[in-house]
This record gives sequence, C-alpha cells and structure tokens, in this order.
Amino acid sequence: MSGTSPQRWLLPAGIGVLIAVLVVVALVRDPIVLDPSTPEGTVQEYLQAISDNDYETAVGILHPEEFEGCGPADLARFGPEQPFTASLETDEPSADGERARVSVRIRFGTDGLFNSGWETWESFELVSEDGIWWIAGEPWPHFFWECQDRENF
Amino acid sequence: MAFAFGLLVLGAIVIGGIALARRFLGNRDEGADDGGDVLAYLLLALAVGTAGFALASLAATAFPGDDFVVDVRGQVANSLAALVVSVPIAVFLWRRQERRRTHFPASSGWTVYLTLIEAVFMTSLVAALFGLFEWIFADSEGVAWTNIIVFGGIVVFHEWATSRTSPESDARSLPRVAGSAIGLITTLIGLGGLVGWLLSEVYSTLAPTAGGSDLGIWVSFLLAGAPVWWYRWLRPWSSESDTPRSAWLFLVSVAGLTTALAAMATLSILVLTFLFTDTEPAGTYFEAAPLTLSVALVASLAWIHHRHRLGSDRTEPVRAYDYAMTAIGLATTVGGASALSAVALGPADLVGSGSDAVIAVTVALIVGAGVWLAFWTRASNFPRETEASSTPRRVYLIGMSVILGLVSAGALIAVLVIIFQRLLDTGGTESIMIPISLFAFAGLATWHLLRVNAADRELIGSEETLTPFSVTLICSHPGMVSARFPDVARIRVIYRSDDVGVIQDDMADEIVAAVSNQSSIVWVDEDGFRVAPARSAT
Repeated sequence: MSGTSPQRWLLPAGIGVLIAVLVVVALVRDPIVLDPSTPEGTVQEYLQAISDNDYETAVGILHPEEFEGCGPADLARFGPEQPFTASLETDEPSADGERARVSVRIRFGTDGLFNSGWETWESFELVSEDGIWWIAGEPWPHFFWECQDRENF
Repeated sequence: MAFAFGLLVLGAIVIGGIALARRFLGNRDEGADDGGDVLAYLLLALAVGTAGFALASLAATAFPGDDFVVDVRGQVANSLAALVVSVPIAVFLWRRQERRRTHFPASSGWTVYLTLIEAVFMTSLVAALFGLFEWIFADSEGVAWTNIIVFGGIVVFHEWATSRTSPESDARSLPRVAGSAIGLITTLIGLGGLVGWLLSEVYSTLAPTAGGSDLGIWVSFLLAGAPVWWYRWLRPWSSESDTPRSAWLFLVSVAGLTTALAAMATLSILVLTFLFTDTEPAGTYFEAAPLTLSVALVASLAWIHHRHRLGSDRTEPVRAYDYAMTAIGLATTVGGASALSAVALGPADLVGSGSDAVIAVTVALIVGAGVWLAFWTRASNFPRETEASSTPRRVYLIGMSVILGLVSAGALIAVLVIIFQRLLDTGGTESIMIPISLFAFAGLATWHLLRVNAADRELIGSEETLTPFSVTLICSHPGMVSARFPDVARIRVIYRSDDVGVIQDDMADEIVAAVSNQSSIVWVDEDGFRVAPARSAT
C-alpha cells in the first residue's frame, strides 16, 4: 500500500520542482552588468564577447593602435574551446589616471563527477583615451604575438 | 517544433532507461543474489553522483555569485541533460533498493553504496565548506555556497536514510570510517598548519624569518574537517569494532607513530648537524624546525588517540600494529646500518667532511633499531604458542624475509657486477661498500627472520599430533574464534536468534583455553560463556 501513498512521489516531485525552479531562475535572472564606461565594465564586455564567440566585438574593444594588424580571426584562433565563467579578483581596479589594471579569475568547465574544472588568474591592462577605456598590453587569451598581419606594421 | 521534438527525445530516453532498468534489474526483486544487489547499488551510486553534480552545476548557474561572464544557456543545457537521464534512474533504483533492504538487511551493497556516496559527497561538502571558511578567514575570492547546500543536502539525505535502515553487513562501519578519514585528514592538515603557524610566530620573535603562511587557510581546514571528524568518528558506535574500523585504527596508528618518529628524527638530525658541523646562522638554519615540530606534534596526537582506541588486549589488530611497526623498524635498521657502513668505510668525499651524512644515518639507525627492539621485545613477551600461529606474525616473518632476501640477493648481484667490472677493467667507478653492506645487513636480517620462522613452525607443527576434536558454538556471532582453534578442530556454529551472544576477540582466547583441545559444546549468552564436554569427533 505504501507504494501508492503520496510519500512515494514526494522525492521525485521535490527534485523535479527544485530543478524547474533552478532552471527558471538561471534563465530569467538579470546578469551582472558592470558599467561599460569603467575599466571593469570594459573587461566584462571583452570577456563576454569572447564567451559568445563574437570576436568582431572583442577586437573592437582592443586599443586600436596597439593591436593594429590583429583581426577577429587571430583572436578566434586562440579563443577558448570550453565555456568559461569569470569574476573580479578585487572589488576595486588599480587605476592611475589614464591607465588601469583589472584582475580577473577565469574558470573553465565545471567541477563534477566526470569533469574537473580549472581556473586561471589574468590581469588586464587598460588605457583611457577620450573617456573610453581600451584593453591594452597583452590580454588573455594571449594572441597578440601571433597576429598574422603584425609583421606588416 | 524543435522544442517539442526535444521533449519527445528526452521522454523517450527516460522511458527507455526505466524500461531497461526494469528489464534487467526488476526481476531480481525476490532473489537473494547479493551480487546483483551490489551491481544495482553501484548503478545507483553512479546515477546519484551524476545527478548530484549536475544539480550543483545548475544551482551555481542559477546563483552565480560574483561571476560576470556566464554561458547560462550552455550550462543549463549540460546540467539538464545529465539530470534528465540520471534522476529517473536514481529514483527508480532508490525505491527498488529501499524495498530490498527490508528483505535483505545484511546486503553488502548498501554498505558499498553508502561508502561511495560518503567518499564523493562528503569530500565535496568539506571542500565547499573549506571555500566558505577561506572566504571568511582568508579573504579569498567568492564562495560557492550553492555547493554547500546541494552537497550538504545529499549528505543529510543519506544520513536520514541510514538512520532508517542502518547497514547490517560485516563491514557495516565502512561508510563512517570513510567519513572519519575525510574529516581526520582535513583536521590534521588544519591543526598541523595552525600549530606550525603558532610555532613560526614564536620563532620569528627569536630570529628573522622569511615570513609565515596564512593563518586563515589553516583555520579553514580545521573548521571544515573537525565537525565531520567529530560526527563520524567520536560519536558512540552502535556496534563493536569490525574489520573496517580495526583496519582504520591500525592504519592511523602505524602512520601516526611512523610520521611522528620520522619528524622527531629529522629535528634531532637538524640539531646534531648544527652542533657538529659548520652551518648557516642559527636563525636561518632552524627556519624549518617549527613546521617539523608541528608535524611531530599532530602525528603524535593522531597516534595517541587511535592507538588508545585499538585497545590493550592482544587482539589481531593490535598484533598487526605491533608487527607492522616491527617491520618498519627492521627495514629502517637495515637501511641505516648499510648506509652508515658505506659512509664510514667508503671513499671520503672530495669536498666536505661528510659528517652531516654520518649524523643523519646514525640517527635513522638508532630510531629504527629502537623501534624494532621495542616492538619485537613486546611481541616476545606474549606466549609463543599463540603468537606463532597468529597471521600478523606469519605475514611479518615471511613477508619481510622475502623482501629482505630479495634485497640481499640484488645487492650481491651488484657486488659481483662491480667485481667483474674491475677484473675486466671496464672502468666502473662506483663504491662497492654500499652493495656489500646492504648484502650483509639484509642477509643477516633475513637469516634472523627465517630462523624465528623455523622455530615457530616447529612449535605450530607440534599441534599436528593433537587428536581431532569438534567444538559446537551456540552464539549470536562467532567473530574470529574459529581462527584461534588449532587446524584439527572442527567448528560448528549454531546461531542464536538474538544478539546477546557475540564472541569478542578477548572472549575467543578464553574459549580456546577453556576448550583445551577437547570436543566441547560452548554456550554464549549475556553472562559470558559456558563449556560442556561433548563426544569426541570421529
């Protein structure tokens, strides 16, 4: 008789409801959006573009003069194959007038039974020109030295 | 359209999976096949493991904390795919096994399953708790609090299931022992780091040091591990010590004492080398001392606690511990004596006096010989008749004589290679002292072990002249008593329907002595045991 009691369905129903709630929350929640006019917001924009495989947008955030000769294809060749998440390492970037440095932790994969995630700490150098922050230096995923057209400039 | 097709495919996968599970597992509901039970529990563990980690991943996606770049849809898709397959299988198998547990309470599958779940999810929970405490005390970035809830929930759910149907197999304590191991290792790392940090702080007031470690990390280890260890190990046990618990006590006792002795020997070498050789300034030289001292202290604590719980009676686990330490002592003695001979009699170093090497191997030799002597003397103080037939002693004598015999033979080959190289003038330059001394000391130890083993066999052999006899045991559980009787004894067990007549290790020895190699009937109850003579075995 216990086989047909309401308790029998309590566990699967509970798990089902929990999964449904989590899926809904994951899909409808507002993503964290940092102010794009700040160094952190610029880094988020850059990383989000790479996550979305939108290398055209990502290259558009790089400093035009420093990355002259680098195109979306160069960045795409070094783009991560796994999905990743990123979070700020420090609440405040180290900004000094027109230059800033933002430290980010990038995690690949997910910790799990068959999949062990891994993470890397990256530091992004930014330059402000006319009130716009550009990514400069040698940003992750470290493609700068392999730009195909670099030798042309 | 695509969504509807996707739902159709998912539904087909779920229904197909359940149908296959019913086909291959469902018809065993009424069987007593314990092997099938283990297989079903292994599949259940796999399904629960997959579902648990997929749920944790989904929860982390729903509540990403500080993450500002998340591939939400990709991660939800991955998690959902795993959940859709694993949850129905897990629920189906859980119900099936829940029914079977009432019919077969002694099934080993339930114990195996709980152990696997404990190993996977308790480790994950401790790691998540460590992250939380590290975030609080060590100012680390972010905390995966969703992992704490999901993994904690799975652990609590299984704790609840265990309280309803506790494992009844012979290795029933295995899940708790696995949890104890996770808690103890984490606690010891935290405690060791904390003591090391305190000692380093004290040391830094005496001498300039390079800087200590982060206290918050060690506090985090301690806070994450200690509650788990307390809950799994220190709470009262519902049954007497069984094989997994005895094995764990043996393991930690041996590892604890060995580590403590090694750390103290290292400290002694450090001090003696400082006193007798030209070294750096004391402040820099002893910089590693606080860490070594903390290892010695923490390992000693672990050893004292577990050795105390191992008991003082001459049980098989205590014998195993004694002979394991004897083996470690003998191996260290042989190694130390060989190394000392090689250093003392071999060619002098071109640079340096070599006194630091002499100090190191002398300390190792003294510690090894001390351990061997202490434990071998202790074993020799017990009646030779019972010791000689014990499994740990036979494993020690035969195992160590094989190992040391092979080492000695290998060293002899190395000696001959060097001799032939020199005779044939092939230009070998290696010292002959190392293989010669190893050959001599390993050979000497092998000869000693073989001699003791031969004497033991003579003693055991005399039992073969005994007249065969039979013993009928009326008890709830015979324990290891049958292993205590001579081989000529025929043991028959009649099980009581209650559990008041369990034969413990100390009682087993008393029963063997009372039976005195005569055919007997032994009655065991809550008042102890009684022995009555029976007709002789034919």
